[in-house]
Amino acid sequence: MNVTPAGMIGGLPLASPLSGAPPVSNGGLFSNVVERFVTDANNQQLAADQSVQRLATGQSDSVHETMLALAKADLSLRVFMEVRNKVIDAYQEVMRMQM
Amino acid sequence: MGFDTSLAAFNISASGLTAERLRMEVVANNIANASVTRTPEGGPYRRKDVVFETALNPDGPAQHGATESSGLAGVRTVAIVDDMSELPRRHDPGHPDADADGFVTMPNVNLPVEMVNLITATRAYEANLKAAQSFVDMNQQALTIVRG
Repeated sequence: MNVTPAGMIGGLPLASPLSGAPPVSNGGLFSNVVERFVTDANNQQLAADQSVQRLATGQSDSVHETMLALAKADLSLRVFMEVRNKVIDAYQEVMRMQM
Repeated sequence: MGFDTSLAAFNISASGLTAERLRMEVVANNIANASVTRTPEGGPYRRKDVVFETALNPDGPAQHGATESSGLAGVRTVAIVDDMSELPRRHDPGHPDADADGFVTMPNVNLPVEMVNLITATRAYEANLKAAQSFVDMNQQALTIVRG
Protein backbone atom coordinates (compact mmCIF):
# COMPACT_ATOMS: atom_id res chain seq x y z
CA MET A 1 0.00 0.00 0.00
CA ASN A 2 1.36 3.38 -0.90
CA VAL A 3 -0.13 6.33 0.89
CA THR A 4 0.70 9.60 -0.78
CA PRO A 5 1.19 12.49 1.62
CA ALA A 6 -1.75 14.83 1.88
CA GLY A 7 -0.51 17.86 -0.01
CA MET A 8 -3.60 20.01 0.49
CA ILE A 9 -3.11 20.58 4.19
CA GLY A 10 -0.31 23.06 3.57
CA GLY A 11 -2.91 25.42 2.08
CA LEU A 12 -5.12 25.47 5.16
CA PRO A 13 -5.04 28.59 7.32
CA LEU A 14 -3.96 26.31 10.17
CA ALA A 15 -0.48 26.41 8.73
CA SER A 16 -0.01 30.15 8.65
CA PRO A 17 1.43 31.77 11.77
CA LEU A 18 -0.78 34.24 13.61
CA SER A 19 0.03 37.89 13.05
CA GLY A 20 2.09 39.29 15.89
CA ALA A 21 3.17 35.86 17.01
CA PRO A 22 6.84 34.97 16.56
CA PRO A 23 7.39 33.38 13.15
CA VAL A 24 7.07 29.62 13.32
CA SER A 25 10.11 27.76 12.04
CA ASN A 26 9.50 25.57 9.04
CA GLY A 27 9.81 22.33 11.03
CA GLY A 28 6.99 23.30 13.37
CA LEU A 29 4.31 23.81 10.74
CA PHE A 30 1.32 21.61 11.30
CA SER A 31 1.45 20.43 7.70
CA ASN A 32 5.04 19.28 8.20
CA VAL A 33 4.08 17.42 11.34
CA VAL A 34 1.25 15.69 9.51
CA GLU A 35 3.48 14.91 6.58
CA ARG A 36 6.09 13.35 8.83
CA PHE A 37 3.40 11.33 10.57
CA VAL A 38 2.07 10.05 7.24
CA THR A 39 5.55 9.27 5.95
CA ASP A 40 6.43 7.42 9.14
CA ALA A 41 3.23 5.39 9.16
CA ASN A 42 3.68 4.71 5.46
CA ASN A 43 7.23 3.50 5.98
CA GLN A 44 6.03 1.07 8.63
CA GLN A 45 3.35 -0.19 6.24
CA LEU A 46 5.91 -0.64 3.49
CA ALA A 47 8.25 -2.48 5.84
CA ALA A 48 5.40 -4.79 6.88
CA ASP A 49 4.50 -5.30 3.23
CA GLN A 50 8.06 -6.28 2.33
CA SER A 51 8.25 -8.55 5.34
CA VAL A 52 5.09 -10.41 4.31
CA GLN A 53 6.41 -10.67 0.77
CA ARG A 54 9.73 -12.08 1.96
CA LEU A 55 7.91 -14.63 4.09
CA ALA A 56 5.57 -15.61 1.26
CA THR A 57 8.39 -16.01 -1.25
CA GLY A 58 10.56 -17.97 1.13
CA GLN A 59 13.33 -15.40 1.47
CA SER A 60 12.64 -15.18 5.18
CA ASP A 61 11.70 -17.96 7.55
CA SER A 62 10.85 -16.05 10.69
CA VAL A 63 7.12 -15.71 11.16
CA HIS A 64 7.57 -13.66 14.30
CA GLU A 65 9.53 -10.91 12.56
CA THR A 66 6.77 -10.53 9.99
CA MET A 67 4.12 -10.45 12.69
CA LEU A 68 6.08 -7.86 14.66
CA ALA A 69 6.44 -5.73 11.53
CA LEU A 70 2.67 -5.98 11.06
CA ALA A 71 2.12 -5.03 14.70
CA LYS A 72 4.42 -2.03 14.26
CA ALA A 73 2.55 -0.92 11.15
CA ASP A 74 -0.78 -1.40 12.92
CA LEU A 75 0.32 0.58 15.97
CA SER A 76 1.77 3.47 13.98
CA LEU A 77 -1.38 3.71 11.89
CA ARG A 78 -3.50 3.66 15.03
CA VAL A 79 -1.45 6.44 16.57
CA PHE A 80 -1.86 8.47 13.41
CA MET A 81 -5.61 7.84 13.32
CA GLU A 82 -6.00 8.89 16.96
CA VAL A 83 -4.15 12.12 16.30
CA ARG A 84 -6.25 12.74 13.18
CA ASN A 85 -9.48 12.08 15.10
CA LYS A 86 -8.43 14.47 17.82
CA VAL A 87 -7.51 17.19 15.33
CA ILE A 88 -10.81 16.79 13.48
CA ASP A 89 -12.70 16.88 16.79
CA ALA A 90 -10.95 20.14 17.65
CA TYR A 91 -11.74 21.57 14.21
CA GLN A 92 -15.41 20.65 14.50
CA GLU A 93 -15.53 22.10 17.98
CA VAL A 94 -14.21 25.39 16.61
CA MET A 95 -16.68 25.34 13.70
CA ARG A 96 -19.57 24.97 16.14
CA MET A 97 -18.57 28.20 17.86
CA GLN A 98 -21.36 30.81 17.94
CA MET A 99 -20.45 34.09 16.28
CA MET B 1 13.49 8.35 13.61
CA GLY B 2 9.80 8.63 14.10
CA PHE B 3 7.91 5.49 14.99
CA ASP B 4 11.08 3.45 14.80
CA THR B 5 12.24 5.03 18.04
CA SER B 6 9.04 4.42 19.95
CA LEU B 7 8.70 0.88 18.62
CA ALA B 8 12.31 -0.12 19.33
CA ALA B 9 11.16 -2.51 22.08
CA PHE B 10 9.77 -4.74 19.33
CA ASN B 11 13.26 -5.31 17.99
CA ILE B 12 14.40 -6.50 21.42
CA SER B 13 11.58 -9.04 21.57
CA ALA B 14 12.25 -10.03 17.97
CA SER B 15 15.89 -10.77 18.73
CA GLY B 16 14.82 -12.90 21.71
CA LEU B 17 12.33 -14.79 19.56
CA THR B 18 14.94 -15.37 16.87
CA ALA B 19 17.43 -16.62 19.45
CA GLU B 20 14.97 -19.03 21.05
CA ARG B 21 13.93 -20.31 17.66
CA LEU B 22 17.55 -21.03 16.82
CA ARG B 23 17.90 -22.87 20.13
CA MET B 24 14.84 -24.91 19.21
CA GLU B 25 16.41 -25.74 15.84
CA VAL B 26 19.62 -26.85 17.53
CA VAL B 27 17.68 -29.06 19.95
CA ALA B 28 15.69 -30.54 17.08
CA ASN B 29 18.94 -31.19 15.24
CA ASN B 30 20.35 -32.94 18.31
CA ILE B 31 17.29 -35.16 18.58
CA ALA B 32 17.33 -35.94 14.87
CA ASN B 33 20.99 -36.93 15.05
CA ALA B 34 20.70 -38.87 18.31
CA SER B 35 22.03 -42.08 16.76
CA VAL B 36 24.17 -40.77 13.90
CA THR B 37 27.57 -42.45 13.76
CA ARG B 38 28.90 -40.77 10.63
CA THR B 39 29.54 -37.08 10.13
CA PRO B 40 31.55 -35.13 7.51
CA GLU B 41 34.19 -34.43 10.19
CA GLY B 42 34.36 -38.15 10.92
CA GLY B 43 33.17 -39.97 14.01
CA PRO B 44 29.73 -39.78 15.54
CA TYR B 45 27.60 -36.66 15.84
CA ARG B 46 28.44 -34.36 18.72
CA ARG B 47 25.67 -32.63 20.59
CA LYS B 48 25.41 -28.93 19.68
CA ASP B 49 24.66 -26.04 21.94
CA VAL B 50 24.08 -22.33 21.30
CA VAL B 51 25.91 -19.46 22.95
CA PHE B 52 24.09 -16.15 23.26
CA GLU B 53 25.42 -12.75 24.19
CA THR B 54 23.65 -9.55 25.01
CA ALA B 55 23.49 -7.16 22.10
CA LEU B 56 24.21 -3.54 22.89
CA ASN B 57 23.66 -0.72 20.48
CA PRO B 58 24.94 2.53 22.02
CA ASP B 59 24.34 4.33 18.72
CA GLY B 60 20.67 3.41 18.73
CA PRO B 61 17.85 5.93 19.07
CA ALA B 62 17.68 7.72 22.39
CA GLN B 63 14.46 7.73 24.35
CA HIS B 64 12.69 11.02 24.81
CA GLY B 65 14.40 13.08 27.50
CA ALA B 66 17.56 10.97 27.48
CA THR B 67 20.76 12.31 26.01
CA GLU B 68 21.99 8.96 24.82
CA SER B 69 20.59 5.61 23.83
CA SER B 70 19.83 3.03 26.49
CA GLY B 71 21.88 0.70 24.31
CA LEU B 72 19.45 -2.16 24.87
CA ALA B 73 19.26 -4.18 21.71
CA GLY B 74 18.25 -7.65 22.83
CA VAL B 75 20.26 -10.78 22.33
CA ARG B 76 22.66 -12.03 19.69
CA THR B 77 23.86 -15.50 18.83
CA VAL B 78 27.63 -15.84 19.16
CA ALA B 79 28.15 -19.39 18.00
CA ILE B 80 26.86 -22.92 17.84
CA VAL B 81 29.38 -25.00 19.77
CA ASP B 82 30.00 -28.72 20.04
CA ASP B 83 29.48 -30.45 23.35
CA MET B 84 32.89 -32.05 23.94
CA SER B 85 31.73 -34.42 26.68
CA GLU B 86 32.64 -38.08 26.42
CA LEU B 87 30.93 -40.10 23.71
CA PRO B 88 29.24 -43.25 24.99
CA ARG B 89 30.31 -46.61 23.55
CA ARG B 90 27.80 -49.33 22.86
CA HIS B 91 28.53 -52.97 22.23
CA ASP B 92 27.14 -53.81 18.80
CA PRO B 93 29.51 -56.01 16.78
CA GLY B 94 27.16 -56.16 13.80
CA HIS B 95 27.26 -52.42 13.26
CA PRO B 96 29.31 -51.30 10.24
CA ASP B 97 30.98 -48.59 12.33
CA ALA B 98 31.98 -50.95 15.16
CA ASP B 99 35.65 -51.02 16.12
CA ALA B 100 37.81 -54.15 16.48
CA ASP B 101 36.34 -54.87 19.94
CA GLY B 102 32.79 -54.63 18.61
CA PHE B 103 32.02 -51.26 20.23
CA VAL B 104 30.26 -48.42 18.41
CA THR B 105 30.88 -44.86 19.55
CA MET B 106 27.51 -43.16 19.76
CA PRO B 107 26.61 -39.44 19.83
CA ASN B 108 26.60 -37.80 23.26
CA VAL B 109 22.97 -36.80 22.81
CA ASN B 110 20.86 -37.45 25.87
CA LEU B 111 17.17 -37.45 24.94
CA PRO B 112 15.78 -36.44 28.38
CA VAL B 113 18.22 -33.51 28.43
CA GLU B 114 17.14 -32.48 24.93
CA MET B 115 13.49 -32.68 25.93
CA VAL B 116 14.12 -30.38 28.88
CA ASN B 117 15.98 -27.97 26.58
CA LEU B 118 13.10 -28.11 24.14
CA ILE B 119 10.61 -27.18 26.84
CA THR B 120 12.92 -24.43 28.11
CA ALA B 121 13.24 -22.97 24.61
CA THR B 122 9.48 -23.17 24.07
CA ARG B 123 8.74 -21.40 27.32
CA ALA B 124 11.40 -18.76 26.67
CA TYR B 125 9.89 -18.17 23.23
CA GLU B 126 6.49 -17.72 24.87
CA ALA B 127 7.97 -15.30 27.39
CA ASN B 128 9.46 -13.17 24.61
CA LEU B 129 6.16 -13.27 22.76
CA LYS B 130 4.37 -12.15 25.90
CA ALA B 131 6.77 -9.23 26.26
CA ALA B 132 6.01 -8.14 22.69
CA GLN B 133 2.26 -8.52 23.26
CA SER B 134 2.45 -6.50 26.47
CA PHE B 135 4.20 -3.77 24.54
CA VAL B 136 1.37 -3.72 21.98
CA ASP B 137 -1.18 -3.62 24.82
CA MET B 138 0.66 -0.77 26.52
CA ASN B 139 0.68 1.27 23.34
CA GLN B 140 -2.98 0.61 22.68
CA GLN B 141 -3.85 1.58 26.22
CA ALA B 142 -1.87 4.77 25.82
CA LEU B 143 -3.96 5.56 22.74
CA THR B 144 -7.12 5.54 24.83
CA ILE B 145 -5.86 8.67 26.63
CA VAL B 146 -7.09 10.90 23.82
CA ARG B 147 -10.42 9.11 23.39
CA GLY B 148 -12.97 11.27 25.07
